[in-house]
Amino acid sequence: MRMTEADYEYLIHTLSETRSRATEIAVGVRARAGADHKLAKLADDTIAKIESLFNAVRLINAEKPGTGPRLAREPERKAPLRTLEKVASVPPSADGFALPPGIGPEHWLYEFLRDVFRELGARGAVSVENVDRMWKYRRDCFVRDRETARRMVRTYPELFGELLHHTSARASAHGVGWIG
Amino acid sequence: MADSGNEMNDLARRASNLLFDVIDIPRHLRARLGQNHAALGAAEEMVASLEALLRELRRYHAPTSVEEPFDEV
Repeated sequence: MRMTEADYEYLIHTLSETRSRATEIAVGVRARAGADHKLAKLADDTIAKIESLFNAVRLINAEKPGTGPRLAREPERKAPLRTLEKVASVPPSADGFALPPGIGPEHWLYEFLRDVFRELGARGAVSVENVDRMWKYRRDCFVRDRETARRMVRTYPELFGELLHHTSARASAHGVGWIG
Repeated sequence: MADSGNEMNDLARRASNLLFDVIDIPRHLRARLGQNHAALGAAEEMVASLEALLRELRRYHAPTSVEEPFDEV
């Protein structure tokens, strides 16, 4: 069995998410147990191991420079990877609205509009009070996520160098930001 | 102290969920890349590291007289 493009994309997505979640845990551990505690060192070690696997997986696709990806085309998948379907199960169009490039499913505006459209679809109407409630909920989520992201960037700037560069360029192009 | 314990329990829960989500990666890599690929070793090290972190998170506020083996993911 060979590594397919879908396998590769699944791994990259999963490991990227894993690294973010592990970094959040590491930040929490440092805040509660202290940076010198054994737990903090274990958390740092875990992040390093995730990063190491991340690099190893990237190398799979770059083992032959100049010859393009070595990955096989996706065959009929008999035993689907457990998380792959979860990642691709909710395409943006499924919610009945489209937003400009750069505002994906994890953007606060997308999530807020999805809530509104779902309420509208389920009830056939939506009240100002409910929109206000949904807005406050998403605003609170955004503020919490932003604070977490800022703590992560402050604590592990080396992990976010590439992402911050990419996000900065995208924000300039589209007038949107990741944590701002 | 109780709040701190709850927070550590929450971190342990998140680490457990994370481990659950990645525990199949070595098996998938072994099936696709073979037993000797470097990525497989890296994946096994990652899982082992996560297991160690989870074990210590669970021990952080556990009574010292109780030895709780790591037997659930």
